[in-house]
Amino acid sequence: MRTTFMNRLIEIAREDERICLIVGDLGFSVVEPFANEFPDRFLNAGVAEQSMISIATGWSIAEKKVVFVYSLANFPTLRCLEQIRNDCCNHKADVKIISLGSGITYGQSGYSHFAVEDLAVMGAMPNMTIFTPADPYEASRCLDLGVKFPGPVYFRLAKNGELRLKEERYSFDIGDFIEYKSGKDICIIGVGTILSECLQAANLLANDVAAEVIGLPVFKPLNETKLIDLLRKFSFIATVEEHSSYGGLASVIGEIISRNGLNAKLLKFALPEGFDKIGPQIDLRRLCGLTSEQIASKIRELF
Amino acid sequence: MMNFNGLIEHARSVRVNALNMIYRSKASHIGSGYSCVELLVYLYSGWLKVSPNLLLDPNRDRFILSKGHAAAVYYAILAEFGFIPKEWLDKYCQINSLLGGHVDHNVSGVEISTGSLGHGLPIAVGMALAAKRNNKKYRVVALLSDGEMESGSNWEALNMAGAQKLDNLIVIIDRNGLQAMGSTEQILPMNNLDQRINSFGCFCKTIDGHNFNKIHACFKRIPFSSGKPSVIIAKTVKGKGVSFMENKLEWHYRSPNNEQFEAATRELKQL
Repeated sequence: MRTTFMNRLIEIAREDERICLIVGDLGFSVVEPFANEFPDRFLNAGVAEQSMISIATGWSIAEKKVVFVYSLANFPTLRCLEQIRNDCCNHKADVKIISLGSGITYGQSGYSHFAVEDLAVMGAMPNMTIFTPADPYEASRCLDLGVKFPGPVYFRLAKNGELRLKEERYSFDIGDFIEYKSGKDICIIGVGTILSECLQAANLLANDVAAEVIGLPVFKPLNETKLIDLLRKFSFIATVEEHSSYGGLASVIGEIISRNGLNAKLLKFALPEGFDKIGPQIDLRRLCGLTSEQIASKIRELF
Repeated sequence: MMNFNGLIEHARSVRVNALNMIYRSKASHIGSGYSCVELLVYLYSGWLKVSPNLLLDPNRDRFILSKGHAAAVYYAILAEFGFIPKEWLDKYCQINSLLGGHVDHNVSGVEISTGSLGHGLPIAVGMALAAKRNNKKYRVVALLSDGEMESGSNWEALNMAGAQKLDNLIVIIDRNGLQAMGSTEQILPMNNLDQRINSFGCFCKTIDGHNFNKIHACFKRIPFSSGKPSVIIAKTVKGKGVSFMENKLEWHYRSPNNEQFEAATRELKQL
Protein backbone atom coordinates (compact mmCIF):
# COMPACT_ATOMS: atom_id res chain seq x y z
CA MET A 1 0.00 0.00 0.00
CA ARG A 2 2.79 2.40 0.96
CA THR A 3 4.88 1.73 -2.15
CA THR A 4 1.88 1.89 -4.48
CA PHE A 5 0.80 5.16 -2.89
CA MET A 6 4.23 6.81 -3.09
CA ASN A 7 4.80 5.63 -6.68
CA ARG A 8 1.48 7.10 -7.66
CA LEU A 9 2.36 10.34 -5.86
CA ILE A 10 5.50 10.65 -8.00
CA GLU A 11 3.46 10.05 -11.17
CA ILE A 12 1.04 12.79 -10.16
CA ALA A 13 3.87 15.14 -9.19
CA ARG A 14 5.36 14.78 -12.70
CA GLU A 15 2.13 16.19 -14.12
CA ASP A 16 1.22 18.61 -11.34
CA GLU A 17 3.98 20.92 -10.19
CA ARG A 18 1.93 22.05 -7.18
CA ILE A 19 2.70 18.75 -5.42
CA CYS A 20 5.25 19.05 -2.58
CA LEU A 21 6.24 16.55 0.11
CA ILE A 22 7.37 17.16 3.68
CA VAL A 23 8.45 14.21 5.82
CA GLY A 24 8.90 14.10 9.56
CA ASP A 25 12.23 12.28 9.35
CA LEU A 26 10.45 9.07 8.37
CA GLY A 27 9.99 7.12 5.16
CA PHE A 28 13.48 5.63 4.77
CA SER A 29 13.74 3.80 1.41
CA VAL A 30 10.25 5.04 0.46
CA VAL A 31 10.44 8.80 -0.03
CA GLU A 32 13.90 9.08 -1.61
CA PRO A 33 12.69 8.72 -5.21
CA PHE A 34 10.43 11.76 -4.71
CA ALA A 35 13.20 13.71 -2.96
CA ASN A 36 15.68 12.92 -5.73
CA GLU A 37 13.33 13.78 -8.57
CA PHE A 38 11.85 16.94 -7.01
CA PRO A 39 14.45 18.35 -4.61
CA ASP A 40 12.84 21.83 -4.63
CA ARG A 41 9.51 20.33 -3.67
CA PHE A 42 10.80 18.13 -0.84
CA LEU A 43 11.66 18.91 2.78
CA ASN A 44 12.62 16.79 5.76
CA ALA A 45 11.10 18.76 8.63
CA GLY A 46 12.99 16.70 11.19
CA VAL A 47 11.46 15.27 14.33
CA ALA A 48 9.33 18.39 14.75
CA GLU A 49 5.74 17.56 13.88
CA GLN A 50 4.14 20.72 15.24
CA SER A 51 6.18 23.04 13.07
CA MET A 52 5.99 20.52 10.22
CA ILE A 53 2.22 20.98 9.97
CA SER A 54 2.45 24.78 10.28
CA ILE A 55 5.27 24.94 7.72
CA ALA A 56 3.16 22.82 5.36
CA THR A 57 0.27 25.25 5.87
CA GLY A 58 2.41 28.31 5.21
CA TRP A 59 4.02 26.70 2.16
CA SER A 60 0.64 25.73 0.76
CA ILE A 61 -1.04 29.09 1.36
CA ALA A 62 1.84 31.30 0.23
CA GLU A 63 2.42 29.65 -3.14
CA LYS A 64 -0.86 27.76 -3.69
CA LYS A 65 0.80 24.36 -3.43
CA VAL A 66 -0.60 20.96 -2.52
CA VAL A 67 1.67 19.94 0.33
CA PHE A 68 1.78 16.30 1.44
CA VAL A 69 3.05 15.51 4.91
CA TYR A 70 4.37 12.00 5.58
CA SER A 71 4.85 10.36 8.94
CA LEU A 72 3.76 7.42 11.10
CA ALA A 73 1.02 6.55 13.52
CA ASN A 74 0.05 9.48 15.78
CA PHE A 75 3.02 11.69 14.93
CA PRO A 76 1.32 13.67 12.13
CA THR A 77 -2.07 13.73 13.90
CA LEU A 78 -2.28 13.72 17.69
CA ARG A 79 1.18 15.18 18.22
CA CYS A 80 0.26 18.29 16.23
CA LEU A 81 -3.50 18.31 16.51
CA GLU A 82 -3.90 22.01 17.26
CA GLN A 83 -1.73 22.88 14.27
CA ILE A 84 -4.03 20.72 12.14
CA ARG A 85 -7.12 22.38 13.61
CA ASN A 86 -6.04 26.03 13.66
CA ASP A 87 -3.63 26.14 10.74
CA CYS A 88 -4.70 23.56 8.14
CA CYS A 89 -8.41 23.21 8.78
CA ASN A 90 -9.40 26.77 9.67
CA HIS A 91 -7.56 28.13 6.63
CA LYS A 92 -8.77 25.24 4.42
CA ALA A 93 -5.14 24.75 3.42
CA ASP A 94 -4.26 22.15 0.79
CA VAL A 95 -2.30 20.06 3.26
CA LYS A 96 -2.60 16.31 2.77
CA ILE A 97 -1.52 14.27 5.78
CA ILE A 98 -0.29 10.72 5.17
CA SER A 99 0.00 8.48 8.21
CA LEU A 100 1.43 4.99 7.95
CA GLY A 101 0.63 2.30 10.48
CA SER A 102 -3.16 2.50 10.79
CA GLY A 103 -4.62 0.82 13.84
CA ILE A 104 -2.29 -1.84 15.24
CA THR A 105 -0.27 -2.36 12.04
CA TYR A 106 2.89 -1.69 14.09
CA GLY A 107 1.80 -4.14 16.78
CA GLN A 108 5.34 -5.08 17.75
CA SER A 109 6.27 -1.43 18.28
CA GLY A 110 3.73 -1.08 21.03
CA TYR A 111 1.28 1.49 22.33
CA SER A 112 3.13 4.62 21.16
CA HIS A 113 2.76 3.40 17.57
CA PHE A 114 -0.94 2.42 17.68
CA ALA A 115 -3.06 4.84 15.63
CA VAL A 116 -6.32 3.89 17.24
CA GLU A 117 -8.00 7.18 18.14
CA ASP A 118 -7.29 8.92 14.85
CA LEU A 119 -10.68 8.42 13.20
CA ALA A 120 -12.42 9.97 16.20
CA VAL A 121 -10.00 12.84 16.47
CA MET A 122 -9.44 13.61 12.80
CA GLY A 123 -13.14 13.09 12.11
CA ALA A 124 -13.85 15.96 14.47
CA MET A 125 -11.57 18.33 12.56
CA PRO A 126 -13.53 20.79 10.41
CA ASN A 127 -13.09 20.66 6.60
CA MET A 128 -11.12 17.42 6.96
CA THR A 129 -11.59 14.64 4.39
CA ILE A 130 -10.54 11.17 5.58
CA PHE A 131 -9.47 8.29 3.34
CA THR A 132 -9.26 4.77 4.75
CA PRO A 133 -8.21 2.50 1.87
CA ALA A 134 -8.35 -1.26 2.40
CA ASP A 135 -5.69 -2.30 -0.10
CA PRO A 136 -3.07 -0.85 -2.48
CA TYR A 137 -5.56 -0.39 -5.29
CA GLU A 138 -7.84 1.71 -3.13
CA ALA A 139 -4.90 3.64 -1.71
CA SER A 140 -3.92 4.73 -5.20
CA ARG A 141 -7.51 5.66 -6.09
CA CYS A 142 -7.88 7.57 -2.79
CA LEU A 143 -4.75 9.52 -3.63
CA ASP A 144 -6.18 10.52 -7.01
CA LEU A 145 -9.34 11.76 -5.28
CA GLY A 146 -7.52 13.47 -2.43
CA VAL A 147 -5.16 15.45 -4.65
CA LYS A 148 -8.10 16.99 -6.48
CA PHE A 149 -10.26 17.55 -3.42
CA PRO A 150 -9.57 21.02 -2.01
CA GLY A 151 -8.62 21.52 1.61
CA PRO A 152 -7.04 19.29 4.25
CA VAL A 153 -7.03 15.54 3.76
CA TYR A 154 -6.01 12.65 5.99
CA PHE A 155 -4.82 9.39 4.40
CA ARG A 156 -4.94 6.51 6.89
CA LEU A 157 -2.59 3.96 5.36
CA ALA A 158 -1.33 0.62 6.67
CA LYS A 159 2.12 -0.52 5.53
CA ASN A 160 3.18 -2.92 2.81
CA GLY A 161 2.14 -6.31 1.49
CA GLU A 162 -1.66 -6.02 1.74
CA LEU A 163 -3.50 -8.24 -0.77
CA ARG A 164 -6.00 -6.86 -3.23
CA LEU A 165 -9.55 -7.44 -1.99
CA LYS A 166 -11.10 -7.44 -5.44
CA GLU A 167 -9.45 -8.56 -8.63
CA GLU A 168 -11.28 -6.24 -10.97
CA ARG A 169 -10.77 -2.48 -11.21
CA TYR A 170 -13.52 -0.31 -9.82
CA SER A 171 -14.02 3.36 -9.36
CA PHE A 172 -15.43 5.25 -6.42
CA ASP A 173 -15.88 8.86 -5.48
CA ILE A 174 -15.84 10.93 -2.29
CA GLY A 175 -18.60 9.58 -0.06
CA ASP A 176 -19.02 6.22 -1.81
CA PHE A 177 -18.84 2.81 -0.17
CA ILE A 178 -17.63 -0.40 -1.83
CA GLU A 179 -19.55 -3.66 -1.89
CA TYR A 180 -17.08 -6.55 -1.74
CA LYS A 181 -19.66 -9.26 -1.24
CA SER A 182 -23.41 -9.25 -1.33
CA GLY A 183 -25.67 -10.94 1.21
CA LYS A 184 -29.03 -10.48 2.88
CA ASP A 185 -28.70 -11.61 6.52
CA ILE A 186 -26.17 -9.16 7.94
CA CYS A 187 -24.19 -6.20 6.66
CA ILE A 188 -20.55 -6.17 7.78
CA ILE A 189 -18.99 -2.73 7.41
CA GLY A 190 -15.25 -2.26 7.74
CA VAL A 191 -12.63 0.46 7.35
CA GLY A 192 -9.06 -0.15 6.26
CA THR A 193 -7.09 -3.37 6.01
CA ILE A 194 -9.28 -5.16 8.57
CA LEU A 195 -11.68 -5.62 5.65
CA SER A 196 -9.68 -8.70 4.66
CA GLU A 197 -10.80 -10.28 7.95
CA CYS A 198 -14.38 -9.21 7.22
CA LEU A 199 -14.34 -10.88 3.82
CA GLN A 200 -12.86 -14.08 5.22
CA ALA A 201 -15.47 -14.03 7.98
CA ALA A 202 -18.21 -13.75 5.39
CA ASN A 203 -16.71 -16.71 3.52
CA LEU A 204 -16.54 -18.78 6.72
CA LEU A 205 -20.20 -17.99 7.34
CA ALA A 206 -21.30 -18.70 3.80
CA ASN A 207 -23.07 -21.99 4.53
CA ASP A 208 -25.13 -20.57 7.43
CA VAL A 209 -25.38 -16.82 7.05
CA ALA A 210 -25.39 -14.66 3.91
CA ALA A 211 -23.21 -11.73 4.93
CA GLU A 212 -22.83 -8.58 2.87
CA VAL A 213 -19.40 -6.92 3.17
CA ILE A 214 -19.08 -3.17 2.72
CA GLY A 215 -15.96 -0.98 2.90
CA LEU A 216 -15.64 2.73 3.42
CA PRO A 217 -12.50 3.89 1.59
CA VAL A 218 -13.72 7.40 2.32
CA PHE A 219 -14.52 7.62 6.02
CA LYS A 220 -15.50 11.30 5.88
CA PRO A 221 -17.62 12.64 4.29
CA LEU A 222 -20.09 9.78 3.83
CA ASN A 223 -22.88 9.78 1.30
CA GLU A 224 -25.43 9.13 4.00
CA THR A 225 -28.42 8.82 1.69
CA LYS A 226 -26.84 5.97 -0.25
CA LEU A 227 -25.68 4.31 2.95
CA ILE A 228 -29.13 4.47 4.56
CA ASP A 229 -30.72 2.94 1.46
CA LEU A 230 -28.34 0.03 1.86
CA LEU A 231 -28.54 -0.37 5.65
CA ARG A 232 -32.34 -0.25 5.65
CA LYS A 233 -32.38 -3.76 4.16
CA PHE A 234 -30.68 -5.39 7.16
CA SER A 235 -31.78 -6.48 10.62
CA PHE A 236 -28.17 -6.90 11.71
CA ILE A 237 -25.24 -4.59 11.06
CA ALA A 238 -21.68 -5.28 12.19
CA THR A 239 -18.91 -2.68 12.24
CA VAL A 240 -15.29 -3.83 12.21
CA GLU A 241 -12.35 -1.46 12.79
CA GLU A 242 -8.80 -1.38 14.08
CA HIS A 243 -9.69 1.62 16.18
CA SER A 244 -10.81 2.36 19.70
CA SER A 245 -14.39 1.54 20.62
CA TYR A 246 -15.03 5.23 20.99
CA GLY A 247 -15.65 7.68 18.19
CA GLY A 248 -14.74 5.50 15.23
CA LEU A 249 -16.75 3.52 12.71
CA ALA A 250 -19.20 2.02 15.24
CA SER A 251 -20.05 5.49 16.56
CA VAL A 252 -20.63 6.89 13.10
CA ILE A 253 -22.76 3.96 11.88
CA GLY A 254 -24.61 3.70 15.18
CA GLU A 255 -25.57 7.34 14.93
CA ILE A 256 -26.79 6.93 11.37
CA ILE A 257 -28.90 3.92 12.40
CA SER A 258 -30.37 5.74 15.36
CA ARG A 259 -30.93 9.12 13.70
CA ASN A 260 -32.73 7.54 10.76
CA GLY A 261 -34.86 5.16 12.81
CA LEU A 262 -33.44 2.03 11.17
CA ASN A 263 -34.59 -1.19 12.73
CA ALA A 264 -31.24 -2.93 13.03
CA LYS A 265 -29.09 -4.34 15.82
CA LEU A 266 -25.51 -3.10 15.78
CA LEU A 267 -22.66 -5.48 16.53
CA LYS A 268 -19.39 -3.71 17.30
CA PHE A 269 -15.92 -5.13 16.64
CA ALA A 270 -13.26 -2.68 17.79
CA LEU A 271 -10.26 -2.36 20.08
CA PRO A 272 -10.84 -1.94 23.80
CA GLU A 273 -10.07 1.49 25.19
CA GLY A 274 -6.39 1.95 26.07
CA PHE A 275 -5.27 -1.29 24.40
CA ASP A 276 -1.52 -1.58 24.96
CA LYS A 277 -0.43 -5.16 24.39
CA ILE A 278 2.57 -6.04 22.20
CA GLY A 279 2.86 -8.52 19.37
CA PRO A 280 2.39 -9.14 15.66
CA GLN A 281 -0.73 -7.52 14.25
CA ILE A 282 -2.54 -10.83 13.69
CA ASP A 283 -1.97 -11.93 17.29
CA LEU A 284 -3.18 -8.60 18.62
CA ARG A 285 -6.27 -8.85 16.42
CA ARG A 286 -6.90 -12.23 18.05
CA LEU A 287 -6.59 -10.72 21.54
CA CYS A 288 -9.28 -8.22 20.57
CA GLY A 289 -11.68 -10.59 18.81
CA LEU A 290 -10.93 -9.12 15.41
CA THR A 291 -9.86 -12.20 13.42
CA SER A 292 -12.12 -13.61 10.73
CA GLU A 293 -12.87 -16.74 12.81
CA GLN A 294 -13.84 -14.67 15.85
CA ILE A 295 -15.97 -12.28 13.81
CA ALA A 296 -17.71 -15.22 12.10
CA SER A 297 -18.31 -16.99 15.38
CA LYS A 298 -19.84 -13.90 17.03
CA ILE A 299 -22.09 -13.34 14.05
CA ARG A 300 -23.19 -16.98 13.98
CA GLU A 301 -24.48 -16.58 17.54
CA LEU A 302 -27.08 -14.14 16.21
CA PHE A 303 -28.70 -16.67 13.93
CA MET B 1 17.21 62.52 11.46
CA MET B 2 13.94 61.77 9.74
CA ASN B 3 10.70 63.31 10.90
CA PHE B 4 8.39 60.71 12.35
CA ASN B 5 5.57 63.05 13.42
CA GLY B 6 3.17 61.36 11.02
CA LEU B 7 3.90 57.96 12.51
CA ILE B 8 3.56 59.32 16.04
CA GLU B 9 0.13 60.63 15.07
CA HIS B 10 -0.85 57.23 13.62
CA ALA B 11 0.28 55.56 16.84
CA ARG B 12 -1.81 57.94 18.92
CA SER B 13 -4.85 57.37 16.71
CA VAL B 14 -4.44 53.57 16.90
CA ARG B 15 -4.18 53.67 20.71
CA VAL B 16 -7.29 55.84 20.98
CA ASN B 17 -9.28 53.57 18.67
CA ALA B 18 -8.14 50.40 20.46
CA LEU B 19 -9.05 51.98 23.81
CA ASN B 20 -12.54 52.74 22.53
CA MET B 21 -12.93 49.22 21.16
CA ILE B 22 -11.83 47.54 24.36
CA TYR B 23 -13.79 49.91 26.60
CA ARG B 24 -17.00 49.43 24.61
CA SER B 25 -16.75 45.63 24.36
CA LYS B 26 -15.30 45.14 27.87
CA ALA B 27 -12.57 43.09 26.20
CA SER B 28 -9.01 42.47 27.42
CA HIS B 29 -5.38 42.54 26.24
CA ILE B 30 -5.04 46.30 25.91
CA GLY B 31 -1.58 46.19 27.51
CA SER B 32 -0.37 43.52 25.08
CA GLY B 33 -1.59 45.58 22.14
CA TYR B 34 -0.11 48.88 23.31
CA SER B 35 3.39 47.42 23.53
CA CYS B 36 3.53 46.78 19.77
CA VAL B 37 1.78 49.88 18.39
CA GLU B 38 4.94 51.61 17.12
CA LEU B 39 6.25 48.41 15.54
CA LEU B 40 2.98 47.85 13.69
CA VAL B 41 2.65 51.49 12.65
CA TYR B 42 6.18 51.43 11.27
CA LEU B 43 5.57 48.19 9.32
CA TYR B 44 2.28 49.36 7.83
CA SER B 45 3.26 52.94 7.04
CA GLY B 46 5.55 51.89 4.24
CA TRP B 47 8.05 49.20 5.16
CA LEU B 48 5.81 46.26 4.31
CA LYS B 49 5.10 45.98 0.60
CA VAL B 50 1.42 45.43 1.17
CA SER B 51 -1.55 47.75 0.86
CA PRO B 52 -5.31 47.45 0.41
CA ASN B 53 -4.69 47.39 -3.37
CA LEU B 54 -2.08 44.63 -3.16
CA LEU B 55 -3.97 42.07 -1.10
CA LEU B 56 -4.09 39.54 -3.92
CA ASP B 57 -0.66 40.39 -5.32
CA PRO B 58 1.37 37.15 -5.19
CA ASN B 59 4.51 39.22 -4.59
CA ARG B 60 3.21 41.19 -1.60
CA ASP B 61 5.07 40.95 1.70
CA ARG B 62 3.34 38.65 4.20
CA PHE B 63 2.76 39.72 7.80
CA ILE B 64 1.58 37.41 10.57
CA LEU B 65 0.62 38.70 14.00
CA SER B 66 1.44 35.61 16.00
CA LYS B 67 0.40 37.27 19.27
CA GLY B 68 -3.18 37.20 18.05
CA HIS B 69 -4.50 38.55 21.34
CA ALA B 70 -3.29 42.00 20.27
CA ALA B 71 -6.26 41.96 17.89
CA ALA B 72 -7.82 45.28 18.95
CA VAL B 73 -4.64 47.17 18.17
CA TYR B 74 -4.07 45.21 14.96
CA TYR B 75 -7.59 45.88 13.70
CA ALA B 76 -7.14 49.55 14.58
CA ILE B 77 -3.96 49.42 12.46
CA LEU B 78 -5.81 47.80 9.54
CA ALA B 79 -8.45 50.53 9.76
CA GLU B 80 -5.81 53.28 10.10
CA PHE B 81 -4.14 52.13 6.89
CA GLY B 82 -7.31 51.55 4.87
CA PHE B 83 -7.64 47.75 4.88
CA ILE B 84 -10.99 47.78 6.67
CA PRO B 85 -13.56 50.56 7.25
CA LYS B 86 -13.10 52.46 10.52
CA GLU B 87 -16.79 51.89 11.35
CA TRP B 88 -16.06 48.19 11.74
CA LEU B 89 -14.06 48.99 14.86
CA ASP B 90 -17.27 50.04 16.63
CA LYS B 91 -18.52 46.44 16.41
CA TYR B 92 -15.35 44.85 17.82
CA CYS B 93 -16.23 41.63 19.66
CA GLN B 94 -19.95 42.14 19.03
CA ILE B 95 -22.31 39.58 17.53
CA ASN B 96 -22.02 39.28 13.73
CA SER B 97 -18.79 41.28 13.68
CA LEU B 98 -15.83 39.95 11.74
CA LEU B 99 -13.57 41.49 14.35
CA GLY B 100 -13.08 39.32 17.42
CA GLY B 101 -10.68 39.17 20.30
CA HIS B 102 -8.11 37.20 18.32
CA VAL B 103 -6.87 37.83 14.79
CA ASP B 104 -9.00 36.24 12.06
CA HIS B 105 -8.07 35.68 8.41
CA ASN B 106 -11.60 36.39 7.25
CA VAL B 107 -10.77 40.06 7.87
CA SER B 108 -9.33 41.86 4.86
CA GLY B 109 -5.59 42.34 5.31
CA VAL B 110 -5.11 39.42 7.69
CA GLU B 111 -3.04 36.60 6.20
CA ILE B 112 -3.37 34.05 9.01
CA SER B 113 -5.68 33.56 11.98
CA THR B 114 -3.91 33.35 15.31
CA GLY B 115 -4.77 33.26 18.98
CA SER B 116 -3.06 30.12 20.18
CA LEU B 117 0.58 31.06 20.66
CA GLY B 118 3.39 29.29 18.85
CA HIS B 119 1.67 29.01 15.46
CA GLY B 120 2.57 32.23 13.63
CA LEU B 121 6.32 31.76 13.32
CA PRO B 122 6.19 28.16 12.00
CA ILE B 123 3.63 29.23 9.39
CA ALA B 124 5.85 32.21 8.49
CA VAL B 125 8.77 29.81 8.04
CA GLY B 126 6.63 27.75 5.64
CA MET B 127 5.79 30.88 3.68
CA ALA B 128 9.40 32.11 3.57
CA LEU B 129 10.52 28.65 2.46
CA ALA B 130 7.82 28.64 -0.24
CA ALA B 131 9.08 32.02 -1.48
CA LYS B 132 12.68 30.79 -1.64
CA ARG B 133 11.76 27.55 -3.39
CA ASN B 134 9.79 29.47 -6.00
CA ASN B 135 12.28 32.31 -6.48
CA LYS B 136 9.92 34.95 -5.12
CA LYS B 137 11.26 38.16 -3.63
CA TYR B 138 8.65 38.87 -0.99
CA ARG B 139 9.49 38.96 2.69
CA VAL B 140 7.62 37.28 5.53
CA VAL B 141 7.33 39.02 8.90
CA ALA B 142 6.05 37.45 12.10
CA LEU B 143 5.48 39.49 15.27
CA LEU B 144 5.60 37.40 18.45
CA SER B 145 5.19 38.03 22.13
CA ASP B 146 8.14 37.33 24.40
CA GLY B 147 6.20 34.87 26.55
CA GLU B 148 5.45 33.02 23.35
CA MET B 149 9.14 32.19 22.99
CA GLU B 150 8.59 29.60 25.72
CA SER B 151 6.69 27.55 23.16
CA GLY B 152 8.70 24.69 21.63
CA SER B 153 7.14 25.05 18.19
CA ASN B 154 8.87 28.44 17.80
CA TRP B 155 12.25 26.84 18.41
CA GLU B 156 11.43 24.06 15.95
CA ALA B 157 10.65 26.80 13.44
CA LEU B 158 13.79 28.86 14.16
CA ASN B 159 15.85 25.69 13.79
CA MET B 160 14.41 25.17 10.31
CA ALA B 161 14.62 28.87 9.39
CA GLY B 162 18.34 28.90 10.19
CA ALA B 163 18.98 25.58 8.46
CA GLN B 164 17.20 26.74 5.30
CA LYS B 165 18.97 30.14 5.41
CA LEU B 166 15.70 32.05 5.21
CA ASP B 167 16.97 35.63 5.02
CA ASN B 168 13.56 36.64 3.68
CA LEU B 169 12.14 35.92 7.14
CA ILE B 170 11.88 38.66 9.75
CA VAL B 171 10.89 37.78 13.30
CA ILE B 172 9.99 40.54 15.75
CA ILE B 173 9.73 39.68 19.42
CA ASP B 174 7.66 42.15 21.45
CA ARG B 175 9.83 42.04 24.56
CA ASN B 176 7.55 43.70 27.12
CA GLY B 177 8.72 41.35 29.86
CA LEU B 178 5.26 40.42 31.12
CA GLN B 179 3.26 37.32 30.27
CA ALA B 180 -0.16 36.17 31.43
CA MET B 181 0.84 35.21 34.98
CA GLY B 182 3.75 37.52 35.71
CA SER B 183 7.24 38.54 34.68
CA THR B 184 8.89 36.47 31.97
CA GLU B 185 12.08 36.47 34.04
CA GLN B 186 10.32 34.92 37.02
CA ILE B 187 8.47 32.31 35.00
CA LEU B 188 11.18 31.15 32.57
CA PRO B 189 14.19 33.49 32.45
CA MET B 190 15.31 34.47 28.96
CA ASN B 191 18.21 36.80 29.65
CA ASN B 192 20.33 35.42 26.87
CA LEU B 193 17.49 35.25 24.37
CA ASP B 194 19.56 36.92 21.62
CA GLN B 195 22.41 34.43 22.04
CA ARG B 196 20.04 31.51 21.96
CA ILE B 197 18.46 32.83 18.77
CA ASN B 198 21.84 33.47 17.14
CA SER B 199 22.89 29.92 17.94
CA PHE B 200 20.00 28.71 15.77
CA GLY B 201 21.56 30.28 12.70
CA CYS B 202 19.68 33.58 12.89
CA PHE B 203 20.96 37.14 13.24
CA CYS B 204 19.44 38.90 16.22
CA LYS B 205 19.37 42.63 17.11
CA THR B 206 17.85 44.33 20.13
CA ILE B 207 16.20 47.75 19.78
CA ASP B 208 13.84 50.13 21.56
CA GLY B 209 10.47 49.07 20.17
CA HIS B 210 8.81 52.44 20.80
CA ASN B 211 11.40 54.70 19.16
CA PHE B 212 10.70 55.23 15.46
CA ASN B 213 14.26 56.42 14.82
CA LYS B 214 15.66 53.19 16.25
CA ILE B 215 13.07 51.03 14.53
CA HIS B 216 13.78 52.72 11.20
CA ALA B 217 17.55 52.41 11.56
CA CYS B 218 17.14 48.72 12.32
CA PHE B 219 14.69 47.87 9.54
CA LYS B 220 16.83 49.67 6.93
CA ARG B 221 19.49 47.01 7.47
CA ILE B 222 17.28 43.97 6.89
CA PRO B 223 18.43 41.36 6.09
CA PHE B 224 21.05 41.84 8.78
CA SER B 225 23.17 39.08 7.32
CA SER B 226 22.86 37.30 3.99
CA GLY B 227 21.60 33.73 4.42
CA LYS B 228 20.27 34.31 7.94
CA PRO B 229 16.79 35.09 9.24
CA SER B 230 16.63 38.57 10.84
CA VAL B 231 15.32 38.54 14.40
CA ILE B 232 14.54 41.76 16.26
CA ILE B 233 14.07 41.78 20.00
CA ALA B 234 12.04 44.96 20.46
CA LYS B 235 12.24 46.18 24.04
CA THR B 236 8.80 47.50 24.83
CA VAL B 237 6.54 48.45 27.71
CA LYS B 238 3.28 46.61 28.24
CA GLY B 239 0.46 49.18 28.27
CA LYS B 240 2.74 51.83 26.71
CA GLY B 241 1.08 55.23 26.29
CA VAL B 242 -1.23 55.24 29.31
CA SER B 243 0.76 55.79 32.49
CA PHE B 244 -1.43 53.77 34.83
CA MET B 245 -1.38 50.79 32.46
CA GLU B 246 2.36 50.75 31.83
CA ASN B 247 4.17 47.66 33.10
CA LYS B 248 1.07 46.51 34.95
CA LEU B 249 0.19 42.83 34.55
CA GLU B 250 -3.48 43.50 35.30
CA TRP B 251 -3.86 45.27 31.94
CA HIS B 252 -3.38 41.93 30.25
CA TYR B 253 -6.92 41.27 31.43
CA ARG B 254 -8.76 44.41 32.47
CA SER B 255 -11.08 46.56 30.49
CA PRO B 256 -11.11 50.20 31.66
CA ASN B 257 -14.04 51.47 33.73
CA ASN B 258 -15.57 54.89 32.98
CA GLU B 259 -13.03 56.86 34.98
CA GLN B 260 -10.08 54.91 33.64
CA PHE B 261 -11.40 55.28 30.11
CA GLU B 262 -11.65 59.04 30.47
CA ALA B 263 -8.25 59.34 32.12
CA ALA B 264 -6.65 57.21 29.41
CA THR B 265 -8.35 59.22 26.66
CA ARG B 266 -7.09 62.50 28.19
CA GLU B 267 -3.58 61.18 28.46
CA LEU B 268 -3.47 59.81 24.91
CA LYS B 269 -4.69 63.13 23.54
CA GLN B 270 -1.90 64.97 25.32
CA LEU B 271 0.83 62.74 23.91
